[in-house]
Amino acid sequence: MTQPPQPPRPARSRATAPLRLGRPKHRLRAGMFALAFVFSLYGGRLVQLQVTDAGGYAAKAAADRTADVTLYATRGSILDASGQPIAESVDAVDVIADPLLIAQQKGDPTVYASKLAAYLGNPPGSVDVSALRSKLAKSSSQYAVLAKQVTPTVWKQIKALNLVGITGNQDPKVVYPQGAIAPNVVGLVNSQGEGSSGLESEYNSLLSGTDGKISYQAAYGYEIPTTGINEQAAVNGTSVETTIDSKIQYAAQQAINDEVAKTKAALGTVVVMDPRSGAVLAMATSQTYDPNNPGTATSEQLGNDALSDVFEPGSVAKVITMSAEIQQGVTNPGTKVVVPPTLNTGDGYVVHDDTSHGTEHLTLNGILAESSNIGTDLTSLQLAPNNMAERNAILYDYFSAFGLGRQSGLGLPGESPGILASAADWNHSQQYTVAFGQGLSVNAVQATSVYATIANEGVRVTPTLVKGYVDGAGKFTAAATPARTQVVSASTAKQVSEMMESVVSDAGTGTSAQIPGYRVAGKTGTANRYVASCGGYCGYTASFIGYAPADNPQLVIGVYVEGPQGGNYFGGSVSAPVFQKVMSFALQEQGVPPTGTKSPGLPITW
Amino acid sequence: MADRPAKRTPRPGAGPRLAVIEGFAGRRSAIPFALLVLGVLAAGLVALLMLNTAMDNNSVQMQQAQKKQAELTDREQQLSQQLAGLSAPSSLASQAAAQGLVPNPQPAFLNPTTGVVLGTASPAPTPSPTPTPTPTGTPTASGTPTSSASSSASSSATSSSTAGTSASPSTSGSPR
Repeated sequence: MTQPPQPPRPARSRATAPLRLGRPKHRLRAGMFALAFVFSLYGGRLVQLQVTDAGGYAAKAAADRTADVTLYATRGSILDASGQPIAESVDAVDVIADPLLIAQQKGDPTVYASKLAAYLGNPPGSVDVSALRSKLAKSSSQYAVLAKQVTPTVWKQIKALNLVGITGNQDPKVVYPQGAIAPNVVGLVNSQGEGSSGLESEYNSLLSGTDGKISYQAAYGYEIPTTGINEQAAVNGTSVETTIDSKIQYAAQQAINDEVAKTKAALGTVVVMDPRSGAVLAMATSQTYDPNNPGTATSEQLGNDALSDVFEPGSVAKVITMSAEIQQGVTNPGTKVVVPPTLNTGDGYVVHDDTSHGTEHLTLNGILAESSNIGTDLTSLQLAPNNMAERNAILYDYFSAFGLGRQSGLGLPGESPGILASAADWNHSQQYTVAFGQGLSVNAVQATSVYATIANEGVRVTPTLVKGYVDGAGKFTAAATPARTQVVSASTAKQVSEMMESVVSDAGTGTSAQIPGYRVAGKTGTANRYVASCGGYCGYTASFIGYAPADNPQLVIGVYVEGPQGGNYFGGSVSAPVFQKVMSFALQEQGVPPTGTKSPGLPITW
Repeated sequence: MADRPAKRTPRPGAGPRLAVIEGFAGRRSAIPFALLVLGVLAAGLVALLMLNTAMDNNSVQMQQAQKKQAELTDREQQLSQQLAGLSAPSSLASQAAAQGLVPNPQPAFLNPTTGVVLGTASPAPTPSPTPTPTPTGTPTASGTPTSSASSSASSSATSSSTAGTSASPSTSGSPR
């Protein structure tokens, strides 16, 4: 191989232009400055991100990642005296359709309707398919409620159909597992889940509880593991345990319904109380409704007549007048009274008795047993002889102390306090009629409470409907003990009680209230009934209030029938049998045996 | 270069002979280390996989348990409502009436220790023809339990009337 001759390499010589070596120090410095500049930009940005704007970004990121789920609090129940629910909130789901979305997804409303119809309605499958189809076909709308409050089981089946545009919306509903037990007392819950009447309204804030929330970090809808869950548990509503005895309530309701139907009366109410505790065991009114179907009820039926309806009590109020007389020491059960056929009070007002009679020689006991208006007035004048104003004031004080003219203390919405005019405002006839229960008005609970006071040795216990509260964890807290006031002495109460036994004796007006084997005390009332529509007194209010066993009272029952039709309108024949029915049932239900003692059988005449 | 080691050869008798063993370090094979790294990597992956599997498994189990719990809660709610419906006063009353039972208007008590009867015991009144139990209006008490109870009730009532009591309940009775 021949190679072209190469020129000789030039010899290295320092004489030629010197090649300057790089100055690494300068380069490094320049490089470092460049790098430092770039890094300072990064650093600056870092400070901006991490220090200046950090909070905002972190919050935004957290908000983007965090998923919130509302935990709905379960509404508390209304329980009966044995702790069984009368009204209970259960899970339910509204089935909602988005017809627009269904149309966009080319869904066929007919297919949707026939698929859904198999599960909707009660019983399932009974729903109107064509109505369902027209709702689904209305593609101008994005919201159509197909069914309200279906059970979770039904909703699961519907969900399993995987129909696009069908969603469920939690809507708990209140059910009444025992049927209609005191619906007028329990009340209703409206569509917003708020109590709208009765106990549901009175205790709404307690019953509703507080909704909770779960927050967790999620990506694409899935929880990011290990990031932790922030759970704020829902506080379920507290249940209210009432004093209502479902069985007595049912018996009372049946008895009053039957009597109102039989006498074609306008209204009937029954109140059952335990005189020792003030507990209301039953409160039934003939104007009632089916809580499972409240839509058909009238506004009168939705109220609670035992509290909202007031009436003139009539002769049942004589017990107050006689308690006043005995307590004031002006009479005793044996006081002898000459009762004239009529009592002319002057000023054109003449007092009559129910049945006309000649001059009678009655004891105070006899006056009560035969329910003489004249006798009651005559003896009541002894409260302050020859001083009508003072006598009226004393009478007023007793009527007021027994709880008339003010609310009973139950606290239920819609209660009327009744009317008890102050003594100074009584007109001439009223001064005489108040003593036998006309010219004032009361509600059924007030009237029953008067007798509970006598039964409880003269101590008035404020009526109560609530035994206690059961929180979400099942812990029971007793309600505050109701207030107690001594209205008359125990000795007065005992004497009045013995007189009331004469009312139920064979010589009295309340014989149909007798329960063989038991000592029963009570009083009939047959009052003239004021009816606004006829502008005066048209018809009667027949009542009977009593208790048993008379020497150890455990149950007080008041029966009030307003406007019974026909010739039979007396408290002793309309209301006393209802009392007998309900009382004999309640005595067995509560396991109250007879005391085995004998009624004193106070003399009636002399 | 052959002469250089000779140059380094220490003189004899000058202590222990030292020699540099050339080229040993760095000659070790890279394979074990690579295997180790790969092994660690693989182990990490497997551990991660297992962890994920375990977590998924747990979450599936949790979901299933929650679903089961929800189902059982629904069922419990349903059953307790049904029970409440059946033991409701209205339902008991209609079933009792169907069996020819009547309310006792004269309560009497027997003291089992002394044998003393408290109150006036008297025979119960003859039941009027019993109406067929109507559905109680409670949503949960409807259906099979009530109807089966009423059919057995009417049969037992018939047998009791043949046993000589004055009770003669019939399901076709007219309303009172």
